[in-house]
Amino acid sequence: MRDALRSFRRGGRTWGRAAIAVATLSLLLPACEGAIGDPEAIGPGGNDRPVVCEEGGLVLGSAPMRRLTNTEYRNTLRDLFGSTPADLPTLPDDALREGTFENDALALGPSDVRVQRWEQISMALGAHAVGPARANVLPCDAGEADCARRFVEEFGRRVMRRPLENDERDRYLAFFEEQREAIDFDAAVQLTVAAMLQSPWFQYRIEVEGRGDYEIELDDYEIASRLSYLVWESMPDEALFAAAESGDLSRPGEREDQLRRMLDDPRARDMVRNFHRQWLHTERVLGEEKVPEIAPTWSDATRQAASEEAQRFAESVFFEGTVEDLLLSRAAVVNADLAPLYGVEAPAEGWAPVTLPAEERAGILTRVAFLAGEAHEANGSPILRGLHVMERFLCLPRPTPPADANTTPPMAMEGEGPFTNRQLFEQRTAPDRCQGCHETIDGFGFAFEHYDTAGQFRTTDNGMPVDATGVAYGTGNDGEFDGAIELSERLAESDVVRDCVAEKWFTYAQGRLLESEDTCQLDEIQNAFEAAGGDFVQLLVELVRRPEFAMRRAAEGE
Amino acid sequence: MKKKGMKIDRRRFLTAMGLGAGSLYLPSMGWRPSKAKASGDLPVRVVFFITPHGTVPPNWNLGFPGMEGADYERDITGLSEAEFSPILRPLHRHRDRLLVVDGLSRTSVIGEEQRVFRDNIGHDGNGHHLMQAHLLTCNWTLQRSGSTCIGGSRSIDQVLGDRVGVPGRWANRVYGYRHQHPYSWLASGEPAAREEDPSQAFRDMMGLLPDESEPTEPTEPAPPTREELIDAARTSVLDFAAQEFDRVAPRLGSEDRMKLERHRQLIRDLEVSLAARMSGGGGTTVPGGATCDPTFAGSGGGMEQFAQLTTLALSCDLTRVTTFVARPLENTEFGVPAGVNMHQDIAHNSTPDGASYTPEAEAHMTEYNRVYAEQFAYLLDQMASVPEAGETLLDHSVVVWLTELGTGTHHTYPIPNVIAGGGCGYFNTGRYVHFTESALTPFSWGGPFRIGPPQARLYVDIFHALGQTDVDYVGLPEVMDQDGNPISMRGPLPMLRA
Repeated sequence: MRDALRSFRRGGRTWGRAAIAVATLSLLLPACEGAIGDPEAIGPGGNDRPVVCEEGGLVLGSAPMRRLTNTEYRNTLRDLFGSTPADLPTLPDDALREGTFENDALALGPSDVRVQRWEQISMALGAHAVGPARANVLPCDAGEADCARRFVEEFGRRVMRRPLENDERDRYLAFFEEQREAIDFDAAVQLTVAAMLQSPWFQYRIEVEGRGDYEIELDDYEIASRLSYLVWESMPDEALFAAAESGDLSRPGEREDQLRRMLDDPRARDMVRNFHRQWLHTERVLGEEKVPEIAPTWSDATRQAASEEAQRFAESVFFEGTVEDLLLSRAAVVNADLAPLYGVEAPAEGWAPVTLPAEERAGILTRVAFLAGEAHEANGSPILRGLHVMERFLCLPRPTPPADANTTPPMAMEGEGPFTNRQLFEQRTAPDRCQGCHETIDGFGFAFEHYDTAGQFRTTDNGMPVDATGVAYGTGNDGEFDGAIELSERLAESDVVRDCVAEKWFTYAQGRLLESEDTCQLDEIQNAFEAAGGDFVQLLVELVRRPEFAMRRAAEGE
Repeated sequence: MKKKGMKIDRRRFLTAMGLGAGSLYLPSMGWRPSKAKASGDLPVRVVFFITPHGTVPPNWNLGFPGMEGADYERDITGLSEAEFSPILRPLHRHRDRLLVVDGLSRTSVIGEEQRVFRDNIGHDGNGHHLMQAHLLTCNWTLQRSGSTCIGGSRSIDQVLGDRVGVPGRWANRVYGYRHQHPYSWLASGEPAAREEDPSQAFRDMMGLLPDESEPTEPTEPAPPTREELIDAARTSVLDFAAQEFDRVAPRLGSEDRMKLERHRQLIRDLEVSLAARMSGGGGTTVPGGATCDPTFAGSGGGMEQFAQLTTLALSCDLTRVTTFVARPLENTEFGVPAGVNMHQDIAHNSTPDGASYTPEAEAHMTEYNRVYAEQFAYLLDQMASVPEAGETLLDHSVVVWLTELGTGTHHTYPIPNVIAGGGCGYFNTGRYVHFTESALTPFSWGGPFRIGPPQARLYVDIFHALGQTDVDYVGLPEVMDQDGNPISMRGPLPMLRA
């Protein structure tokens, strides 16, 4: 897939990188038999139409309607009402699958359970609206003239994330008056709120207002929602509504200004954590058991701390650093549960910043959440760790193992050994038909042999010296390394890694898997990310400044 | 007289929801199930009970040793408990109502494996993923670059629900726990919602059931309270919302439009449900004239609670199709020390033909499945305790124990199947039925091998048991064998019917 993307790059510099990608591919292809790099693998529906990027031209991918994710729904309710009642019914899980994010439009549909829960929640919030959240919902007192209309218009604008159309306002107003007549003013507020919260305009992000036939310029309120759900996973605030009303959001500069303002809000930090939770699977460690002989203090508190540390690290790097920092920074925060695993002094209470030992740690791939997450009970898994690097940092698809592949952790047979963990895995994947792919997978994975199943640093394994040497393939910065720090240094300078990070953020922003039509836009974003030295904030700036951010392609049958 | 137990009445439920006391406006119209005239009028209900990881065939089998080469049946009603296989022994007390079906194959999975490995274009061929996606779809999975494969079409529990569901009631419920990937799919890539919390599942039911605690013969109808009026207006809110969906849908592209139209229909369904609740049942039939007793004992662990809830939902006819995903067991529940990796160290080593076989792993995997048999037996106990038209709910249901894989080593053949309850006399129970190998598989890393008939054809029987006799196949109609000839997945299986 990557060579397909690369081949559309223009100019000497990008063609130079294309040559790298193609060269890389030739190393993998004969062995993996086309598992990697097949253009058919792009996007749902095997969309492999060739795309030609022209200077200044636009090629737009699809823009499927997105149901609010559970996170977006909860955040939006919080921002609408200022607070939400405790003990709301639980929502069915949003699916999180490898390679995609929870906001994947394809998986965001309705179900009978969800519709029922949303109805219950809508009624509960209706009651909340005339109780504790009254001031957030009602702009006036029941006795004031025209209060119903003001409520419908003002609260309705926030629920629908745009001003109500006149006939729409009249429908809600008529419904309100009907209920007021039948019951009373507060009941009418409650029921009207419940109706608004069950409107498709609230529950889905619908884009139909723009101008154009095929390449459509979004209206300003649609752009405002794109911004707010990207940066906050929630509805626009008043400042963003004001910008939409003034018609400014079609200007890239205004979008950038809004983005920078919004990034200063704590809601942006929640989004960044939520992104990394999914991209780096920081919750995987929460389900991991460890044998007590290796990690006697391993507990639920340790798991929680490891996951939290990874998210805090990623959050701080996002706001203050670059891709290089993500892979190389030794800055960390630890608490008493986590400190022993890193061999650093435990803080007296809570979390404290530390600098991790220079010979042992560098960046996210040397942190406990990754090392202990991609591991079995008694030993780290070079295969899981290697696949994590490939899928999440190089954007390479996971090759298909043979149906009868033995995927149990290898163990020494009686009377044999002793072996190191690495030796056992090397024996397992020694056959030629394994090596085609495992040369690459394990090549990355063995870099982490200095870390045991709980992520603790070690120099010996089973009484023998650790061998963490290897050769990196497919990184655009290939070559030998010894240990995870040297591998991280290679990855930190890799074009492929930086492009992959941009691709992950791009996928997140689109709310769907990549399509071939994204090639040109993604290419530009990746180039800008390179020019910005891998600065994450700049990556988002480029994303929202792009003309495509304010446009969409007409849907089939629209 | 009410059973003791955790009975949450609807009023308390609604109060807790902030909706006010939700007693009925017309209390004389309480839950009045209409009486079924004869068992022929009874609806057949279905439960798919799904456990992970497959079985240990030699310790599951009830057949005669040495007869694997023939199709045959065996009466199991006369077998003693000791003569039952170790895994199925807990089901001995239900043997009259069991139909143990051996020798079926997950043929659609084999068909997809062929494609995955022939084309080898970055598809996900993980045995768990493939077999989870196929279990209730029997159809091509959704393969997406950079992602694991998942269900690629609407699953049969949903399709059955569409066909036999009653307006105002749920078409289908999915209860239970998380395995790796979902089994139940609304559409390609879109998992059906699964409820993990028994008390939430019960609250859902109470949101649908009329309040039985009201006196059924009131002397003085009281005027509705404010809270009752608000509660009654919920249907108006839903009606309003559904019209908003109608307004926006035509403005969208075809895929988005279909999604909103589906959503609109679900709102209409809920509206009908709430309206039926308010008017006392809305003409829904509760089989056998039994009084639907919406009492939830809430006793035991989550699995027992879901068994109680499944029985409640089926006996009150709140749904006719339930998918019950069993809880992954803790090691200590089947005698294995905590810290041992069940998947890697037990399941993968549990079959004698596997490379890493150990007798200990086989014993543990056997015990693992026996514990699930106990859970399955508990569900059957619950269903057999509900009288219906001189028989029981179990007699009028088809309860199928399915498992994700054939064996802990990911075999696609043979697949163990246990059917309990006769589906109102459709299935001839009290028997073990063996199907022998009939087709040569198109593909295997270890060379081609022979397999039995497709499990998908058992599902065709289930459709027929529910009166859906126009259904000739589910999922794929056929896959190709070794020589490129079709292996048909059409038609019900022989030997199963009464």
